[in-house]
Amino acid sequence: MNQPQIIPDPAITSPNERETILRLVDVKKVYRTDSMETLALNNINLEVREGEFISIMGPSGCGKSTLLHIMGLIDDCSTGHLELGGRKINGMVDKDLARIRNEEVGFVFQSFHLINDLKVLDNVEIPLLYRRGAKDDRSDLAREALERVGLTARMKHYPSQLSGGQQQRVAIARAIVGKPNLLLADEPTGNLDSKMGSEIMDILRTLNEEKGTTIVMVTHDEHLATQTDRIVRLFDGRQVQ
Amino acid sequence: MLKNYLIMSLKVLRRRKFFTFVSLFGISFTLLVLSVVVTIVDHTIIPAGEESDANRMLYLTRMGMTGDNGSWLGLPGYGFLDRYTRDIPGVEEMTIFSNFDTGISYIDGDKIESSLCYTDTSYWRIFHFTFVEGAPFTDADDSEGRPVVVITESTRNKFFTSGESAVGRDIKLNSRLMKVVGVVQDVPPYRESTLNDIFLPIGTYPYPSIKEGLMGTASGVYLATDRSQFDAIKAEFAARLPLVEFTDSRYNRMIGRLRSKLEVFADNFVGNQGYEENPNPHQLAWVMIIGAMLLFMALPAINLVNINMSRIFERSSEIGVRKAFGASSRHLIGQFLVENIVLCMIGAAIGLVLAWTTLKVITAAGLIPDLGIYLNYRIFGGAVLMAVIFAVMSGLGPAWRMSRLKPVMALKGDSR
Amino acid sequence: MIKHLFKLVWNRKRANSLILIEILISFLVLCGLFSTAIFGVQGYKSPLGFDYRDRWLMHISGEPRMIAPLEEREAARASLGQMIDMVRALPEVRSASVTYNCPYSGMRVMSVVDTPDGQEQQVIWGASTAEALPTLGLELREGRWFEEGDETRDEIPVVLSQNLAELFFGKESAVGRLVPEMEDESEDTEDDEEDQARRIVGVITDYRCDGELARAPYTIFRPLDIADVDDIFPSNFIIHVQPGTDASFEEILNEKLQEIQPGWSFAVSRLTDMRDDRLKNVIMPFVVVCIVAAFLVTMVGLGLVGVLWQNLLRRTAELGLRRAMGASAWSVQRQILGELLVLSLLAMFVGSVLFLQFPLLGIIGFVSWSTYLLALALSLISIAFIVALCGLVPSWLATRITPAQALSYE
Repeated sequence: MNQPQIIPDPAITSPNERETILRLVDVKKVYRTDSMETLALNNINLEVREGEFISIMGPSGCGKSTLLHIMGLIDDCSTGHLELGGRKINGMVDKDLARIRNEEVGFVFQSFHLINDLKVLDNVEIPLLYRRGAKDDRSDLAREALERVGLTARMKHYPSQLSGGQQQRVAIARAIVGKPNLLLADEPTGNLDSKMGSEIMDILRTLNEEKGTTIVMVTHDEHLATQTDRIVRLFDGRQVQ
Repeated sequence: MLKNYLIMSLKVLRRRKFFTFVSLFGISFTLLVLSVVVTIVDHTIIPAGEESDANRMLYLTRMGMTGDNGSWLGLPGYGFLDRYTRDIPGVEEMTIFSNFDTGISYIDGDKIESSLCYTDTSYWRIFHFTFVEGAPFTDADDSEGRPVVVITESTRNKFFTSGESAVGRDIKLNSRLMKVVGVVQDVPPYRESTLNDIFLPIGTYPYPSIKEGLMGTASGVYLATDRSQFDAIKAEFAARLPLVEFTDSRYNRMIGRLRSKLEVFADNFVGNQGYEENPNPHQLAWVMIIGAMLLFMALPAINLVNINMSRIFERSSEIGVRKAFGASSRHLIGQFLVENIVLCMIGAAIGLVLAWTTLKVITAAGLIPDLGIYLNYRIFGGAVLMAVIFAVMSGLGPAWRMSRLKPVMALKGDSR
Repeated sequence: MIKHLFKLVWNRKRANSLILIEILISFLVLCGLFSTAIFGVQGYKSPLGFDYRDRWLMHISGEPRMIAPLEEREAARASLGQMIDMVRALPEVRSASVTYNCPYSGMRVMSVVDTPDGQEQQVIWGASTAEALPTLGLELREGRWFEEGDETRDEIPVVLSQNLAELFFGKESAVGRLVPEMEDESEDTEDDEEDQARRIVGVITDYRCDGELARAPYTIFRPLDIADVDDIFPSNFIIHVQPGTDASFEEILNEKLQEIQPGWSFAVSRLTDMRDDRLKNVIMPFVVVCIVAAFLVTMVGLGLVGVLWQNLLRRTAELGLRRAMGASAWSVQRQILGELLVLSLLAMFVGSVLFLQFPLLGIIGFVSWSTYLLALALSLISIAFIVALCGLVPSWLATRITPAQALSYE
């Protein structure tokens, strides 16, 4: 894939002046089982500004995925505060959380998590299903999203008929179809070889640079991390940098 | 949205064939049994055939005569019905007919036993029999006691060569020659009030004292001008009971009441004898029927719940993804309920086909004399309704359970 | 180990409670079916108390008898006397009896007696002419049958069925004693019979007039005098015909009866046919219920296989994430089978306790402990067998999947 041309968007100003879209204050996550307590995250304080591309790094088991899940509201923190798009998240009910996830957040997972029973196009449409109003242009939007990841030719295929890289591109299309403010990627290249991995990375970078999509990516690949605006390092649940 | 749910449910059904089979086995069998039961109930209480006016009819099939030292419970006698229950306002037509009489005939050494019904000409106006040939006997036949009979098709085939006309020919009944004046189509066995082989004018009854008794073996049927008259007719009937004059000093009170077909069914169902007023027979009967059905559905439903619950694991990735992309609990409950309803509808369709086959086989094998039972739109609707109830019964729990999964847990494939 | 298994079952109590309920309901259904079946088989094997072979039942139909004015009743009695004499004289007939107590006829004259423990008990209070003993093939166990002339005594001689004699007097002999106070529902209470004592002259084997598959009713036979019958007219004859008598005799009989009383109609049925009908009427619905139950149990079994299979796959996959399958596969199966064992034991225990409430509390009429216990044992064995089968099939299937398959399973 060609290196996409970078066209600076006049609306995008320097990171420091941009609005904070995600703020974590003293976030702690404790896992309890019958016999023991595990501290997965300890006093995380983090701000993500609009248009940033942040990577979270750290050895496995340091809590980086948990942090990403908390950011995306699919996991809750034990203590601490979370603000997303200027709204306090703590204490929200399931229905409201679902709406925020739907409108504000897009996920890309390491193991893709495509629904094997659905065709590519249907998979991409999923976030739109849960959005009020959008109905007629659902498949147009999905097509558009697939176009961005260069997979329009495969939209009538089932996920199992695609290669790993293609599957991840479908997953990215699914994550961006609803035009979320925040894209959360959990080791998006983890299950792919390096060639496919760099393709995925290119797509993410293009999204960030062209559309100004805010991206938070968990990775343990130093090379990938250096391509992002900022690196957050975790060790044993603590923010070390 | 619904379309997506439907597509998804068909996909899921195709994916795990064993589970689909087990689920459908349970659902279709449950609905088979329920539809057969509903078919029989339907045919018992819904007006049809010669009883097509049954929703305007009141029946008197139980009567009692009580005194200080005992009571005689049984059927009303012709005398009572004739003397005390005619000309009730609101009744368009009433008929009296006998029960339990048997006619014996011998043809070439073979015995033919027929159930006899001595009755009047009103009988033919209240019940709409289909005459294959001939016509009902007339008032003159009755008043003059002419030896004429109306027989059913199957009776005709016993006495005469199959297919031959019988009108004008004689049959020997209890050593007495009777002329056939009409042949009617057979009545299915669940319509008891009209189930007889041979119909005779009451004037031919061998023992004239039949016309005397307060108690006996007769029944009365009253055709109201309209259903709305039922209460007034029942009240008038009750008001006439104290007027009865007793020849036998041991008795001093008549008990009994007019009942609609539904009330008779309900009374039978709850084991009420039908002499005394039963405040809410319908409600009680329906509660019992529906209760029994729900109870019967319980085990298959639990089974389906079990299967659905254990399959949550299989779906956990999908649940996680849907949640992560903004599906609320309500969305997921909706989705899984729709899936379960689709499954149950397929099961219902199979169940109905099986029910239809079962009824055919039962009839064809002659295990029960021709029931003449067929599935109709009411039963079809009933089966669909039961399938939906069943689907909700068996789907709500698992659906709720699925919707409550934490998305992050679901994505990790942990469904506990 | 057991403690560990119980803990496992408890930890997954929500999922397990449903399986428990399923096994429990299936168990109770089987208990009900087995007790009914055993009751039927025991009944079928024990003596009927009468003989149905070559016995015909002649029923006078039509209704004049009950409602007839007094003078007509007189004529009816005369006709009836003539008929029984005529029937007895026929060469094809061994004996004939007029009786209210006809087997299978469904017509009963009932009465209520007070049992020694103060309960009210329904009894069949039927009069028969003296020939009923040989005609019905009743079996006299003690004392004598009543004889011609008995009906005119001061005391009414009666013959009790053995179960009634035992109900009244336990193991002591009933012969010679009086029937305790009884309320007569059917008879005219102002009748002089009211004051007549009922002297027991004999005891017969339980007279099971509703057939093999019904409970033996309590029965009292008393003499019947045709010349003296009142408002309940005896409308049944029992005729013991010579072996080999066929339908042609029926026609002759009918004609002869019509000659005596042209107004009445007469229906003859054979007790063997009536018995077959009665058996069919009980067995057919039972077979239907059995088929339905078999489907239910099959369904539960298949469901159980599915659930266990799913559990097995999930846990194997979980385990496979950490280590290769190999030796650990069997440990997963053992755990699942162990859980199933605990569950079914629990269900069977609860089921047994529930089932035994029926005889203990007398919710349905008590039969005998042996019936219930045998039914319980059979149900326990069947459920254990079914559950074992359902548990072993998935385990056996699981041994055939490779770790890779288990892991790739989604």
